[in-house]
Amino acid sequence: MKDVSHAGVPDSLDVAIQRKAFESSSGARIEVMADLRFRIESAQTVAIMGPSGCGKSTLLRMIAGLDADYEGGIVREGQGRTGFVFQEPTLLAWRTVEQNIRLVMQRPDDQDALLEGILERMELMAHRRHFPGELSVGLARRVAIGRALAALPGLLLLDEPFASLDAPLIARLQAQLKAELALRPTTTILVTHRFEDALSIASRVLVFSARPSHVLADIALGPDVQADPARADAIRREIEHVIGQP
Amino acid sequence: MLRIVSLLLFLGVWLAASMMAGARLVPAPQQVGLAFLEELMSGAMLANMGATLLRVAASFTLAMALGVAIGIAMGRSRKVDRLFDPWLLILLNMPALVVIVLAFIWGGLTETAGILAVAINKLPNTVVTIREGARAMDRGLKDMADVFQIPRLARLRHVVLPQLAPYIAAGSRSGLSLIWKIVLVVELLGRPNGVGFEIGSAFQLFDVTRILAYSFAFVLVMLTIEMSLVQPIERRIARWRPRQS
Ligand SMILES: Nc1ncnc2c1ncn2[C@@H]1O[C@H](COP(=O)(O)OP(=O)(O)OP(=O)(O)O)[C@@H](O)[C@H]1O
Ligand SMILES: [Mg+2]
Repeated sequence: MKDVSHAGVPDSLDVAIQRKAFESSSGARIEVMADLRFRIESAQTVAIMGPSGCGKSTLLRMIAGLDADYEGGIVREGQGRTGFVFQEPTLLAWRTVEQNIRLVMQRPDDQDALLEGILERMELMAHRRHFPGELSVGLARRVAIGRALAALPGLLLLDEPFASLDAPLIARLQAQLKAELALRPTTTILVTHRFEDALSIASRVLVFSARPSHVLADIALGPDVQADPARADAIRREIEHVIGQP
Repeated sequence: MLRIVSLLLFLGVWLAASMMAGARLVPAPQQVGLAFLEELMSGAMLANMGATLLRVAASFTLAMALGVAIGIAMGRSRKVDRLFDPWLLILLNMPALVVIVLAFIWGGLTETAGILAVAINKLPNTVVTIREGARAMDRGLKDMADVFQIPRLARLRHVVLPQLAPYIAAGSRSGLSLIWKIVLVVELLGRPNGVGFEIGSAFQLFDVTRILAYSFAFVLVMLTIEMSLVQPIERRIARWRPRQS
């Protein structure tokens, strides 16, 4: 189990974005974020919800360092690596499931225990020699999640990892993910459209406004909320009301 | 089946042409076959073929290695692309003969000059093909490699080269057929051996039989290389692609 333990504390994150804009191909400026601020503590799991197009994926890319073109600052404390589950699985089609996961491991050749563990828990053992083109969407997602975990990240970014999957699979994936996070505490950001996802994994949900986005609400989702369906439902309805889409 | 018909038809046309034009201008197939055997027995065929193939291999390797490196650089960076695009245009439109003659003038009638001349002729095509491939590379995969901090070498091997593989294959295929044609010209102009040199001397003696014997032998060898080397490698590279039924 040595491989599963982490070196040091999971990362914490301070986000203070004054402005983020895109230049559309027609030359018009699209203001995506304005005065977007929040802080995430080490080992916390936070869900982000918000209307489509409000900049959730963009924010994850900025946090991951893939997009540095904005005004403001994102301060990350900790030396952890980043695990990213992109909105698309983004697997190497010409490498097997196992090779895809191995590729992101720091020492690909002597972390067999880590690999086996992840394949086992993500229920991918039977597919380790398959190519991504042979996988269903759900399986490909599981590989993408497994890969992100194999990087032993200090910060885990999940961009709608449960979209377009059926309910039983979502439930299983969430259970697996929760088990992984319990095994190895990791600061996690989960972008999702469904309150149920947030409720099952996160201890807190940030609700973003429409573009240009800022934080509309910052709601704690402790075990007390999970144990109280009426309260959870009230929160869900409030969020849906705020976001303005059912 | 149709292939055999096609081959027989070809031999028939050849025979007819030989009978109409006379054996001096168009020697009959069996004469060419005999000449081939003669050259084979004397060892000249193998020696010349070997010399030519070595030149093909050397200039092919050089052109592909340089072409892939430059192509990736130009495909990835707009600045590099802008800077070197005019050079590429000039090279693309430079007649092969000019490059060869200049190489021999500046480099002397040496092996290095010859191989360089062939490689430079092939280089711009490779660069253009690979640049196309580098531009078409998946942005999402690049982001993935960046986020997970995949080391340079692993990234090249697992992320970049597999995406370029079809382009490299296309470049190799067109490259090989271009290179062996240019190698013959180089040998004709400035080398003391090789298939091109033999054809050159046969031309001076008006020995059409020997010219045809060498040409067909060479085409045969290149076809064999294509089928036994290039195609299996392409199949191996394409292994991951879902089979189309
Ligand atoms: N590279 C880009 N160039 C121009 N505009 C962009 C670019 N990337 C994103 N945008 C715009 O920025 C806005 C935010 O996009 P983003 O993908 O971050 O939204 P999102 O909140 O993830 O949406 P969804 O929930 O549908 O995934 C959108 O209006 C989008 O059109
Ligand atoms: Mg998105």
